[in-house]
Amino acid sequence: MKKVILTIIVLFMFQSVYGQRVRGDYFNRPQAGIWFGPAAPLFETAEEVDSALSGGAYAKVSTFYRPVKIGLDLSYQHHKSASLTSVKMVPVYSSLQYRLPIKTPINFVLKAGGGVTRIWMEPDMVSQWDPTFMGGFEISFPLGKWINVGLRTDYLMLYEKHLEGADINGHFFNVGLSLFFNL
Amino acid sequence: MRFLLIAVLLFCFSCDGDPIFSNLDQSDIIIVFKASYASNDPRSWWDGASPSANSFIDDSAVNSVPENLPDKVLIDIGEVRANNDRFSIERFYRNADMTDDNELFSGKGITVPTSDLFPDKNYDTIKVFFRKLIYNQASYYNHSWEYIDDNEEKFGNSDLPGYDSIHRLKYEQADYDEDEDEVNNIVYPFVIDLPIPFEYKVGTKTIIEIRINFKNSLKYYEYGDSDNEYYYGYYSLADSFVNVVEGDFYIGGNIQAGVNIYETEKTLIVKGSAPAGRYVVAIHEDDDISNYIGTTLIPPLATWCDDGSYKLNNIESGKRYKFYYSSTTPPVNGVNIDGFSGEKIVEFEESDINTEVELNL
Repeated sequence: MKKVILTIIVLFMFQSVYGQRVRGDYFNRPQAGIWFGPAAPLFETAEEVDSALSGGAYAKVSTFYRPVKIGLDLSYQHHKSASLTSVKMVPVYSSLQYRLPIKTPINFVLKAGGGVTRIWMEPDMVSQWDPTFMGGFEISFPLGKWINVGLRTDYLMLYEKHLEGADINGHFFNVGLSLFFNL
Repeated sequence: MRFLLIAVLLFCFSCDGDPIFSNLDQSDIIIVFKASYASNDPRSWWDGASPSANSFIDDSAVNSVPENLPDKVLIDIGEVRANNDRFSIERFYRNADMTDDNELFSGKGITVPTSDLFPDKNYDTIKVFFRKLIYNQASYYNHSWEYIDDNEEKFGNSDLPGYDSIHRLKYEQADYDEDEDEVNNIVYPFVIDLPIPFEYKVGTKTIIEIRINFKNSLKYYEYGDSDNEYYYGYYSLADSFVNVVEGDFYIGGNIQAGVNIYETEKTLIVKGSAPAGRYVVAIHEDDDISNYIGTTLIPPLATWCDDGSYKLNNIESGKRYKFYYSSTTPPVNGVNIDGFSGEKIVEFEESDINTEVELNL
Protein backbone atom coordinates (compact mmCIF):
# COMPACT_ATOMS: atom_id res chain seq x y z
CA MET A 1 0.00 0.00 0.00
CA LYS A 2 2.89 2.33 0.84
CA LYS A 3 4.38 1.65 -2.61
CA VAL A 4 1.12 2.55 -4.27
CA ILE A 5 0.77 5.80 -2.29
CA LEU A 6 4.44 6.67 -2.97
CA THR A 7 3.95 6.00 -6.70
CA ILE A 8 0.88 8.28 -6.81
CA ILE A 9 2.74 11.07 -5.01
CA VAL A 10 5.67 10.77 -7.42
CA LEU A 11 3.30 10.86 -10.42
CA PHE A 12 1.58 13.97 -9.08
CA MET A 13 4.91 15.65 -8.42
CA PHE A 14 6.23 15.06 -11.93
CA GLN A 15 2.98 15.15 -13.94
CA SER A 16 3.69 18.49 -15.57
CA VAL A 17 7.11 17.37 -16.72
CA TYR A 18 5.67 14.10 -18.00
CA GLY A 19 2.78 15.84 -19.72
CA GLN A 20 5.02 18.42 -21.32
CA ARG A 21 7.23 15.75 -22.77
CA VAL A 22 4.36 13.74 -24.23
CA ARG A 23 2.62 16.78 -25.72
CA GLY A 24 5.90 18.04 -27.01
CA ASP A 25 6.60 14.79 -28.71
CA TYR A 26 3.27 14.78 -30.49
CA PHE A 27 3.43 18.41 -31.46
CA ASN A 28 6.85 18.02 -32.93
CA ARG A 29 5.96 15.09 -35.09
CA PRO A 30 5.08 15.74 -38.72
CA GLN A 31 1.34 16.31 -38.96
CA ALA A 32 -1.18 16.30 -41.80
CA GLY A 33 -4.87 16.98 -41.78
CA ILE A 34 -7.97 18.45 -43.29
CA TRP A 35 -10.26 21.31 -42.33
CA PHE A 36 -13.74 22.45 -43.22
CA GLY A 37 -15.75 25.54 -42.32
CA PRO A 38 -17.14 28.92 -43.32
CA ALA A 39 -15.14 31.49 -45.24
CA ALA A 40 -16.24 35.11 -45.11
CA PRO A 41 -15.13 37.97 -47.33
CA LEU A 42 -14.15 41.12 -45.43
CA PHE A 43 -14.21 44.87 -46.06
CA GLU A 44 -14.81 45.87 -49.71
CA THR A 45 -14.72 42.26 -50.82
CA ALA A 46 -17.78 41.55 -48.65
CA GLU A 47 -19.79 44.07 -50.67
CA GLU A 48 -19.40 42.04 -53.83
CA VAL A 49 -19.39 38.34 -52.89
CA ASP A 50 -21.03 36.23 -50.20
CA SER A 51 -19.70 33.89 -47.54
CA ALA A 52 -19.16 30.29 -48.48
CA LEU A 53 -18.17 26.93 -47.13
CA SER A 54 -14.54 26.12 -47.68
CA GLY A 55 -12.17 23.35 -46.91
CA GLY A 56 -8.63 22.26 -47.40
CA ALA A 57 -5.70 20.12 -46.44
CA TYR A 58 -2.47 20.93 -44.71
CA ALA A 59 0.77 19.53 -43.42
CA LYS A 60 3.20 20.68 -40.73
CA VAL A 61 6.82 19.79 -40.03
CA SER A 62 9.05 20.70 -37.13
CA THR A 63 11.95 23.08 -37.14
CA PHE A 64 15.12 23.16 -35.11
CA TYR A 65 13.29 25.46 -32.67
CA ARG A 66 10.77 23.17 -30.99
CA PRO A 67 7.79 25.56 -30.48
CA VAL A 68 7.86 26.55 -34.15
CA LYS A 69 6.62 24.47 -37.08
CA ILE A 70 6.35 25.15 -40.78
CA GLY A 71 3.01 24.48 -42.38
CA LEU A 72 1.81 24.18 -45.95
CA ASP A 73 -1.87 24.77 -46.66
CA LEU A 74 -3.98 24.18 -49.73
CA SER A 75 -7.68 24.94 -49.76
CA TYR A 76 -10.66 25.76 -51.96
CA GLN A 77 -13.40 28.34 -51.59
CA HIS A 78 -16.10 29.55 -54.01
CA HIS A 79 -17.76 32.85 -53.16
CA LYS A 80 -20.92 33.53 -55.11
CA SER A 81 -23.11 36.62 -55.13
CA ALA A 82 -26.71 37.50 -55.85
CA SER A 83 -25.72 38.38 -59.41
CA LEU A 84 -23.43 36.43 -61.74
CA THR A 85 -20.26 37.63 -60.08
CA SER A 86 -18.36 34.92 -58.25
CA VAL A 87 -14.82 34.18 -57.16
CA LYS A 88 -13.23 30.76 -56.91
CA MET A 89 -9.96 30.53 -55.00
CA VAL A 90 -7.32 27.97 -54.28
CA PRO A 91 -4.93 29.49 -51.72
CA VAL A 92 -1.58 27.76 -51.40
CA TYR A 93 0.63 29.14 -48.71
CA SER A 94 3.32 28.32 -46.22
CA SER A 95 3.34 29.57 -42.65
CA LEU A 96 5.44 29.66 -39.54
CA GLN A 97 3.43 28.33 -36.62
CA TYR A 98 4.36 29.16 -33.06
CA ARG A 99 2.90 27.23 -30.15
CA LEU A 100 2.25 29.50 -27.18
CA PRO A 101 4.01 28.29 -24.00
CA ILE A 102 0.88 27.50 -22.03
CA LYS A 103 0.94 24.42 -19.85
CA THR A 104 -2.20 22.62 -20.82
CA PRO A 105 -3.04 19.66 -23.05
CA ILE A 106 -4.55 22.11 -25.51
CA ASN A 107 -2.19 23.65 -28.05
CA PHE A 108 -2.55 27.35 -28.83
CA VAL A 109 -0.79 28.22 -32.04
CA LEU A 110 -0.20 31.55 -33.75
CA LYS A 111 0.69 31.46 -37.42
CA ALA A 112 1.69 33.81 -40.20
CA GLY A 113 2.90 33.28 -43.70
CA GLY A 114 2.43 33.81 -47.38
CA GLY A 115 2.06 32.17 -50.71
CA VAL A 116 -0.17 32.49 -53.71
CA THR A 117 -3.80 32.03 -54.58
CA ARG A 118 -5.09 30.79 -57.87
CA ILE A 119 -8.20 32.85 -58.45
CA TRP A 120 -10.96 32.60 -61.05
CA MET A 121 -13.49 35.38 -61.50
CA GLU A 122 -16.82 34.71 -63.18
CA PRO A 123 -18.60 35.59 -65.36
CA ASP A 124 -15.61 37.03 -67.21
CA MET A 125 -13.61 33.82 -66.76
CA VAL A 126 -10.48 35.73 -65.73
CA SER A 127 -7.95 33.64 -63.82
CA GLN A 128 -4.53 34.38 -62.36
CA TRP A 129 -2.19 33.88 -59.42
CA ASP A 130 -2.38 36.49 -56.64
CA PRO A 131 0.29 36.94 -53.95
CA THR A 132 -1.25 36.03 -50.62
CA PHE A 133 -0.43 36.90 -47.02
CA MET A 134 -2.02 35.20 -44.08
CA GLY A 135 -2.22 35.29 -40.32
CA GLY A 136 -4.13 33.02 -38.02
CA PHE A 137 -4.75 31.30 -34.76
CA GLU A 138 -5.33 27.66 -34.02
CA ILE A 139 -6.49 25.67 -31.01
CA SER A 140 -6.08 21.92 -31.01
CA PHE A 141 -5.96 19.05 -28.60
CA PRO A 142 -4.87 15.46 -29.01
CA LEU A 143 -7.27 12.56 -29.06
CA GLY A 144 -4.79 9.84 -28.24
CA LYS A 145 -1.47 9.28 -29.88
CA TRP A 146 -2.37 9.77 -33.52
CA ILE A 147 -5.35 12.06 -33.82
CA ASN A 148 -5.83 15.75 -33.08
CA VAL A 149 -8.90 17.93 -33.47
CA GLY A 150 -8.86 21.67 -33.62
CA LEU A 151 -10.41 24.96 -34.50
CA ARG A 152 -8.52 27.24 -36.84
CA THR A 153 -9.03 30.79 -37.99
CA ASP A 154 -7.15 32.31 -40.90
CA TYR A 155 -7.13 35.78 -42.33
CA LEU A 156 -6.09 35.88 -45.99
CA MET A 157 -5.10 38.96 -47.88
CA LEU A 158 -4.85 38.55 -51.64
CA TYR A 159 -2.52 41.34 -52.60
CA GLU A 160 -3.46 43.12 -55.83
CA LYS A 161 -2.62 46.75 -55.18
CA HIS A 162 0.64 46.34 -57.07
CA LEU A 163 -1.36 45.75 -60.26
CA GLU A 164 -2.13 48.61 -62.61
CA GLY A 165 -5.64 49.93 -62.04
CA ALA A 166 -6.07 48.18 -58.69
CA ASP A 167 -7.21 50.11 -55.65
CA ILE A 168 -8.20 47.32 -53.29
CA ASN A 169 -6.97 43.91 -52.18
CA GLY A 170 -9.02 40.80 -51.48
CA HIS A 171 -9.71 40.02 -47.83
CA PHE A 172 -11.11 36.79 -46.42
CA PHE A 173 -11.55 35.27 -42.99
CA ASN A 174 -11.77 31.49 -42.77
CA VAL A 175 -12.87 29.48 -39.78
CA GLY A 176 -12.56 25.73 -39.82
CA LEU A 177 -12.84 22.61 -37.76
CA SER A 178 -9.75 20.55 -38.35
CA LEU A 179 -8.80 16.96 -37.96
CA PHE A 180 -5.16 16.07 -38.27
CA PHE A 181 -2.87 13.20 -37.63
CA ASN A 182 0.52 12.76 -36.04
CA LEU A 183 2.62 10.88 -38.56
CA MET B 1 12.34 24.80 -45.63
CA ARG B 2 11.25 23.28 -48.91
CA PHE B 3 7.71 24.53 -48.24
CA LEU B 4 9.05 28.05 -47.92
CA LEU B 5 10.96 27.72 -51.19
CA ILE B 6 7.86 26.48 -52.97
CA ALA B 7 5.86 29.42 -51.62
CA VAL B 8 8.51 31.92 -52.71
CA LEU B 9 8.60 30.41 -56.20
CA LEU B 10 4.80 30.54 -56.52
CA PHE B 11 4.84 34.10 -55.24
CA CYS B 12 7.09 35.08 -58.13
CA PHE B 13 4.59 33.68 -60.64
CA SER B 14 1.99 36.15 -59.44
CA CYS B 15 3.47 39.53 -60.18
CA ASP B 16 1.16 40.59 -63.01
CA GLY B 17 -2.49 40.19 -63.95
CA ASP B 18 -5.83 41.92 -63.72
CA PRO B 19 -7.09 43.76 -60.63
CA ILE B 20 -9.83 41.22 -59.99
CA PHE B 21 -11.10 42.59 -56.69
CA SER B 22 -11.15 46.15 -57.97
CA ASN B 23 -13.17 44.94 -60.94
CA LEU B 24 -15.76 42.93 -59.03
CA ASP B 25 -18.19 45.86 -59.07
CA GLN B 26 -17.31 46.89 -62.60
CA SER B 27 -19.08 45.77 -65.74
CA ASP B 28 -18.78 46.34 -69.43
CA ILE B 29 -22.53 45.99 -69.81
CA ILE B 30 -25.07 48.69 -68.99
CA ILE B 31 -28.82 48.43 -69.26
CA VAL B 32 -30.65 51.46 -70.59
CA PHE B 33 -34.35 51.24 -69.84
CA LYS B 34 -36.82 53.26 -71.89
CA ALA B 35 -40.61 53.41 -71.78
CA SER B 36 -41.28 54.41 -75.38
CA TYR B 37 -41.73 52.55 -78.66
CA ALA B 38 -38.92 54.58 -80.22
CA SER B 39 -35.27 54.12 -79.33
CA ASN B 40 -34.66 57.82 -79.91
CA ASP B 41 -36.81 60.87 -80.65
CA PRO B 42 -40.12 59.25 -79.65
CA ARG B 43 -43.55 60.45 -80.63
CA SER B 44 -44.98 63.11 -78.30
CA TRP B 45 -47.55 62.18 -75.68
CA TRP B 46 -50.91 62.22 -77.46
CA ASP B 47 -49.25 64.01 -80.41
CA GLY B 48 -48.99 67.12 -78.26
CA ALA B 49 -52.77 67.36 -77.63
CA SER B 50 -54.52 67.02 -74.26
CA PRO B 51 -57.10 64.25 -74.36
CA SER B 52 -60.29 64.57 -72.36
CA ALA B 53 -60.72 62.63 -69.12
CA ASN B 54 -62.99 60.02 -70.69
CA SER B 55 -60.91 59.50 -73.87
CA PHE B 56 -59.54 56.12 -72.96
CA ILE B 57 -62.35 54.24 -71.24
CA ASP B 58 -62.30 50.61 -72.30
CA ASP B 59 -65.58 49.17 -73.53
CA SER B 60 -65.43 46.69 -70.65
CA ALA B 61 -65.71 49.53 -68.11
CA VAL B 62 -69.40 50.33 -67.87
CA ASN B 63 -69.94 51.30 -64.22
CA SER B 64 -67.66 54.26 -63.55
CA VAL B 65 -66.24 57.30 -65.30
CA PRO B 66 -62.78 58.69 -64.48
CA GLU B 67 -62.56 62.37 -63.64
CA ASN B 68 -58.99 62.90 -64.79
CA LEU B 69 -56.38 61.27 -66.97
CA PRO B 70 -53.33 60.00 -65.11
CA ASP B 71 -50.26 62.19 -65.10
CA LYS B 72 -47.98 59.78 -63.21
CA VAL B 73 -46.80 56.27 -63.92
CA LEU B 74 -44.93 54.37 -61.22
CA ILE B 75 -42.66 51.61 -62.45
CA ASP B 76 -40.83 49.21 -60.14
CA ILE B 77 -38.51 46.56 -61.58
CA GLY B 78 -36.77 44.05 -59.34
CA GLU B 79 -34.16 42.54 -61.60
CA VAL B 80 -33.30 41.74 -65.19
CA ARG B 81 -31.99 38.44 -66.47
CA ALA B 82 -30.48 37.31 -69.72
CA ASN B 83 -31.99 33.87 -70.19
CA ASN B 84 -31.85 32.87 -66.52
CA ASP B 85 -28.60 34.65 -65.64
CA ARG B 86 -29.28 37.36 -63.03
CA PHE B 87 -26.94 39.98 -64.39
CA SER B 88 -28.86 43.01 -63.10
CA ILE B 89 -30.04 42.73 -59.50
CA GLU B 90 -30.24 46.41 -58.68
CA ARG B 91 -33.90 47.21 -58.19
CA PHE B 92 -34.93 50.41 -59.91
CA TYR B 93 -38.14 52.32 -59.67
CA ARG B 94 -39.44 55.62 -60.89
CA ASN B 95 -42.39 57.82 -60.05
CA ALA B 96 -42.43 59.38 -63.49
CA ASP B 97 -44.33 62.35 -64.81
CA MET B 98 -46.11 61.47 -68.03
CA THR B 99 -44.33 64.19 -69.99
CA ASP B 100 -42.13 64.22 -73.06
CA ASP B 101 -39.22 65.53 -70.99
CA ASN B 102 -39.14 62.66 -68.53
CA GLU B 103 -36.10 60.46 -69.14
CA LEU B 104 -38.30 57.39 -69.45
CA PHE B 105 -40.28 58.92 -72.30
CA SER B 106 -37.80 61.28 -73.96
CA GLY B 107 -35.63 58.58 -75.55
CA LYS B 108 -32.84 59.12 -73.05
CA GLY B 109 -33.69 56.26 -70.70
CA ILE B 110 -32.66 55.16 -67.22
CA THR B 111 -29.21 53.63 -66.81
CA VAL B 112 -29.11 50.48 -64.71
CA PRO B 113 -25.84 48.84 -63.56
CA THR B 114 -25.23 45.15 -64.22
CA SER B 115 -22.61 42.49 -63.85
CA ASP B 116 -21.04 41.10 -66.99
CA LEU B 117 -22.52 38.10 -68.73
CA PHE B 118 -20.83 34.82 -69.47
CA PRO B 119 -18.77 35.09 -72.64
CA ASP B 120 -19.22 32.57 -75.43
CA LYS B 121 -22.80 31.91 -74.37
CA ASN B 122 -25.74 32.62 -76.64
CA TYR B 123 -28.49 34.61 -74.96
CA ASP B 124 -31.85 34.69 -76.70
CA THR B 125 -34.20 36.22 -74.11
CA ILE B 126 -34.23 39.14 -71.71
CA LYS B 127 -36.46 38.77 -68.67
CA VAL B 128 -37.67 41.87 -66.88
CA PHE B 129 -38.96 41.15 -63.38
CA PHE B 130 -41.65 43.72 -62.67
CA ARG B 131 -42.74 44.43 -59.16
CA LYS B 132 -45.30 47.15 -59.82
CA LEU B 133 -46.88 49.18 -62.58
CA ILE B 134 -49.10 51.92 -61.21
CA TYR B 135 -50.95 54.75 -62.91
CA ASN B 136 -52.49 57.40 -60.69
CA GLN B 137 -56.13 58.52 -60.91
CA ALA B 138 -57.56 55.25 -59.62
CA SER B 139 -60.63 54.97 -57.38
CA TYR B 140 -62.40 52.27 -55.44
CA TYR B 141 -66.10 51.76 -55.02
CA ASN B 142 -68.52 49.74 -52.94
CA HIS B 143 -70.43 46.77 -54.35
CA SER B 144 -73.03 49.21 -55.76
CA TRP B 145 -70.33 51.17 -57.59
CA GLU B 146 -70.64 54.13 -55.24
CA TYR B 147 -67.38 56.04 -54.97
CA ILE B 148 -65.52 55.51 -51.67
CA ASP B 149 -62.09 57.06 -52.14
CA ASP B 150 -59.05 57.36 -54.36
CA ASN B 151 -57.04 54.18 -54.31
CA GLU B 152 -53.49 54.07 -52.96
CA GLU B 153 -50.66 51.61 -53.35
CA LYS B 154 -47.39 51.05 -51.54
CA PHE B 155 -44.53 52.34 -53.65
CA GLY B 156 -41.00 53.02 -52.42
CA ASN B 157 -42.13 52.86 -48.77
CA SER B 158 -44.86 55.44 -49.36
CA ASP B 159 -48.56 55.22 -49.99
CA LEU B 160 -49.14 56.85 -53.35
CA PRO B 161 -52.34 57.30 -55.33
CA GLY B 162 -52.90 54.76 -58.06
CA TYR B 163 -53.66 51.14 -58.76
CA ASP B 164 -51.08 48.43 -59.32
CA SER B 165 -52.13 46.50 -62.39
CA ILE B 166 -49.04 44.39 -62.86
CA HIS B 167 -50.75 41.21 -61.70
CA ARG B 168 -53.45 41.82 -64.29
CA LEU B 169 -50.82 42.03 -66.99
CA LYS B 170 -49.16 38.69 -66.28
CA TYR B 171 -51.42 36.87 -68.72
CA GLU B 172 -49.18 34.87 -71.11
CA GLN B 173 -46.10 36.75 -69.90
CA ALA B 174 -46.07 35.03 -66.52
CA ASP B 175 -43.12 32.67 -66.47
CA TYR B 176 -42.60 31.54 -62.93
CA ASP B 177 -39.24 30.03 -62.18
CA GLU B 178 -39.92 26.81 -60.38
CA ASP B 179 -36.59 26.99 -58.60
CA GLU B 180 -37.53 30.29 -56.95
CA ASP B 181 -39.30 30.43 -53.64
CA GLU B 182 -42.69 32.04 -53.25
CA VAL B 183 -41.36 35.39 -52.05
CA ASN B 184 -39.17 35.83 -55.11
CA ASN B 185 -42.09 35.04 -57.33
CA ILE B 186 -43.90 38.18 -56.20
CA VAL B 187 -42.20 39.88 -59.13
CA TYR B 188 -43.38 39.00 -62.58
CA PRO B 189 -40.91 38.10 -65.28
CA PHE B 190 -41.77 39.64 -68.60
CA VAL B 191 -39.95 37.76 -71.34
CA ILE B 192 -38.61 39.57 -74.40
CA ASP B 193 -37.26 37.38 -77.18
CA LEU B 194 -34.13 38.71 -78.84
CA PRO B 195 -34.40 38.73 -82.62
CA ILE B 196 -30.74 37.74 -82.95
CA PRO B 197 -29.01 35.77 -80.17
CA PHE B 198 -26.51 37.85 -78.25
CA GLU B 199 -23.02 36.76 -77.29
CA TYR B 200 -21.03 38.92 -74.89
CA LYS B 201 -17.38 39.57 -75.66
CA VAL B 202 -15.23 40.20 -72.58
CA GLY B 203 -13.95 43.75 -72.40
CA THR B 204 -16.48 45.11 -74.89
CA LYS B 205 -18.51 48.08 -73.71
CA THR B 206 -22.06 47.03 -74.45
CA ILE B 207 -25.46 48.64 -74.03
CA ILE B 208 -28.55 46.50 -73.63
CA GLU B 209 -31.37 48.87 -74.39
CA ILE B 210 -34.68 47.55 -73.10
CA ARG B 211 -37.80 49.33 -74.27
CA ILE B 212 -41.17 48.59 -72.75
CA ASN B 213 -43.73 50.92 -74.19
CA PHE B 214 -45.82 52.83 -71.67
CA LYS B 215 -46.07 55.91 -73.84
CA ASN B 216 -49.26 56.58 -75.78
CA SER B 217 -50.78 53.35 -74.52
CA LEU B 218 -53.51 53.83 -71.94
CA LYS B 219 -56.96 52.46 -71.10
CA TYR B 220 -59.36 52.77 -68.19
CA TYR B 221 -60.57 49.44 -66.80
CA GLU B 222 -62.68 48.16 -63.95
CA TYR B 223 -62.11 45.25 -61.63
CA GLY B 224 -64.03 43.65 -58.75
CA ASP B 225 -62.13 41.76 -56.06
CA SER B 226 -62.84 38.10 -55.46
CA ASP B 227 -65.58 38.57 -52.85
CA ASN B 228 -67.06 41.57 -54.71
CA GLU B 229 -66.77 43.76 -51.63
CA TYR B 230 -64.94 46.50 -53.49
CA TYR B 231 -64.64 47.53 -57.10
CA TYR B 232 -61.82 49.46 -58.68
CA GLY B 233 -61.53 51.84 -61.60
CA TYR B 234 -57.96 52.25 -62.80
CA TYR B 235 -55.71 52.95 -65.75
CA SER B 236 -53.31 50.50 -67.30
CA LEU B 237 -51.86 49.71 -70.72
CA ALA B 238 -54.21 49.84 -73.70
CA ASP B 239 -55.59 46.50 -74.90
CA SER B 240 -54.33 46.97 -78.45
CA PHE B 241 -53.35 43.34 -78.95
CA VAL B 242 -55.56 41.23 -76.68
CA ASN B 243 -59.04 42.72 -76.28
CA VAL B 244 -60.30 43.01 -72.73
CA VAL B 245 -63.98 42.28 -72.26
CA GLU B 246 -66.19 42.79 -69.25
CA GLY B 247 -65.35 40.43 -66.43
CA ASP B 248 -61.82 39.70 -67.62
CA PHE B 249 -59.47 39.22 -64.72
CA TYR B 250 -56.40 39.59 -66.92
CA ILE B 251 -55.73 42.45 -69.28
CA GLY B 252 -52.45 40.80 -70.27
CA GLY B 253 -50.84 40.22 -73.61
CA ASN B 254 -50.62 43.95 -74.19
CA ILE B 255 -47.11 44.82 -73.06
CA GLN B 256 -45.01 45.94 -76.02
CA ALA B 257 -41.29 45.47 -75.68
CA GLY B 258 -38.07 45.27 -77.65
CA VAL B 259 -34.35 45.09 -77.07
CA ASN B 260 -31.44 46.64 -78.93
CA ILE B 261 -27.93 45.47 -78.03
CA TYR B 262 -24.93 47.34 -79.36
CA GLU B 263 -21.30 48.07 -78.68
CA THR B 264 -20.89 51.70 -77.66
CA GLU B 265 -17.70 52.22 -79.61
CA LYS B 266 -19.12 51.00 -82.92
CA THR B 267 -22.16 53.19 -83.40
CA LEU B 268 -23.22 55.65 -86.04
CA ILE B 269 -26.29 57.69 -86.91
CA VAL B 270 -28.49 57.20 -89.96
CA LYS B 271 -30.65 60.11 -91.02
CA GLY B 272 -32.67 61.11 -94.02
CA SER B 273 -36.17 61.64 -95.26
CA ALA B 274 -39.25 59.48 -94.76
CA PRO B 275 -43.01 60.04 -94.91
CA ALA B 276 -44.15 62.34 -92.12
CA GLY B 277 -46.19 60.88 -89.27
CA ARG B 278 -44.63 57.43 -89.50
CA TYR B 279 -42.29 55.31 -87.47
CA VAL B 280 -38.93 54.56 -89.10
CA VAL B 281 -37.47 51.27 -87.92
CA ALA B 282 -34.35 49.20 -88.54
CA ILE B 283 -33.85 45.50 -87.95
CA HIS B 284 -30.92 43.18 -88.57
CA GLU B 285 -30.72 41.65 -92.02
CA ASP B 286 -31.40 38.16 -90.65
CA ASP B 287 -34.52 39.35 -88.90
CA ASP B 288 -38.01 39.40 -90.44
CA ILE B 289 -40.12 42.56 -90.35
CA SER B 290 -43.29 40.47 -90.06
CA ASN B 291 -42.22 39.73 -86.46
CA TYR B 292 -43.15 43.33 -85.67
CA ILE B 293 -46.50 43.63 -87.43
CA GLY B 294 -49.53 43.14 -85.20
CA THR B 295 -47.38 41.75 -82.40
CA THR B 296 -46.13 43.15 -79.10
CA LEU B 297 -42.50 42.96 -80.27
CA ILE B 298 -40.84 46.33 -80.89
CA PRO B 299 -38.10 46.57 -83.56
CA PRO B 300 -34.59 46.98 -82.11
CA LEU B 301 -34.30 50.48 -83.59
CA ALA B 302 -37.21 52.86 -84.08
CA THR B 303 -37.81 56.57 -84.24
CA TRP B 304 -40.75 58.83 -84.91
CA CYS B 305 -40.63 60.78 -88.15
CA ASP B 306 -42.73 63.81 -87.38
CA ASP B 307 -42.02 66.20 -90.23
CA GLY B 308 -40.54 64.14 -93.05
CA SER B 309 -37.00 63.84 -91.73
CA TYR B 310 -35.75 61.25 -89.29
CA LYS B 311 -32.62 60.37 -87.35
CA LEU B 312 -31.91 56.89 -86.06
CA ASN B 313 -29.18 56.60 -83.41
CA ASN B 314 -27.05 53.68 -82.26
CA ILE B 315 -26.80 51.79 -85.53
CA GLU B 316 -23.84 49.42 -85.27
CA SER B 317 -21.10 49.27 -87.88
CA GLY B 318 -20.14 45.97 -89.41
CA LYS B 319 -23.75 44.83 -89.66
CA ARG B 320 -26.38 44.85 -92.38
CA TYR B 321 -29.68 46.43 -91.49
CA LYS B 322 -33.08 46.53 -93.12
CA PHE B 323 -34.85 49.91 -92.86
CA TYR B 324 -38.59 50.50 -93.10
CA TYR B 325 -41.22 53.06 -92.31
CA SER B 326 -44.69 52.25 -91.03
CA SER B 327 -47.17 51.99 -93.89
CA THR B 328 -49.73 54.18 -92.15
CA THR B 329 -49.78 56.66 -89.31
CA PRO B 330 -50.34 54.56 -86.17
CA PRO B 331 -53.15 55.55 -83.81
CA VAL B 332 -52.06 57.97 -81.13
CA ASN B 333 -53.13 55.55 -78.39
CA GLY B 334 -51.93 51.97 -78.60
CA VAL B 335 -48.95 51.54 -80.93
CA ASN B 336 -50.15 48.60 -83.00
CA ILE B 337 -48.48 48.99 -86.38
CA ASP B 338 -50.30 47.25 -89.21
CA GLY B 339 -47.50 47.17 -91.75
CA PHE B 340 -44.11 48.45 -92.88
CA SER B 341 -43.01 49.69 -96.31
CA GLY B 342 -39.99 50.94 -98.23
CA GLU B 343 -37.44 48.28 -97.36
CA LYS B 344 -33.83 49.29 -97.85
CA ILE B 345 -30.89 47.08 -96.91
CA VAL B 346 -27.66 48.81 -95.97
CA GLU B 347 -24.36 47.59 -94.58
CA PHE B 348 -22.26 49.98 -92.54
CA GLU B 349 -18.47 49.89 -92.50
CA GLU B 350 -16.07 50.64 -89.69
CA SER B 351 -15.26 53.92 -91.38
CA ASP B 352 -18.87 54.99 -90.68
CA ILE B 353 -18.39 54.89 -86.91
CA ASN B 354 -19.25 58.20 -85.25
CA THR B 355 -20.53 59.61 -88.53
CA GLU B 356 -23.99 60.48 -89.83
CA VAL B 357 -24.96 58.43 -92.86
CA GLU B 358 -27.67 59.72 -95.21
CA LEU B 359 -30.44 57.30 -96.13
CA ASN B 360 -33.69 58.48 -97.70
CA LEU B 361 -36.61 56.09 -97.44
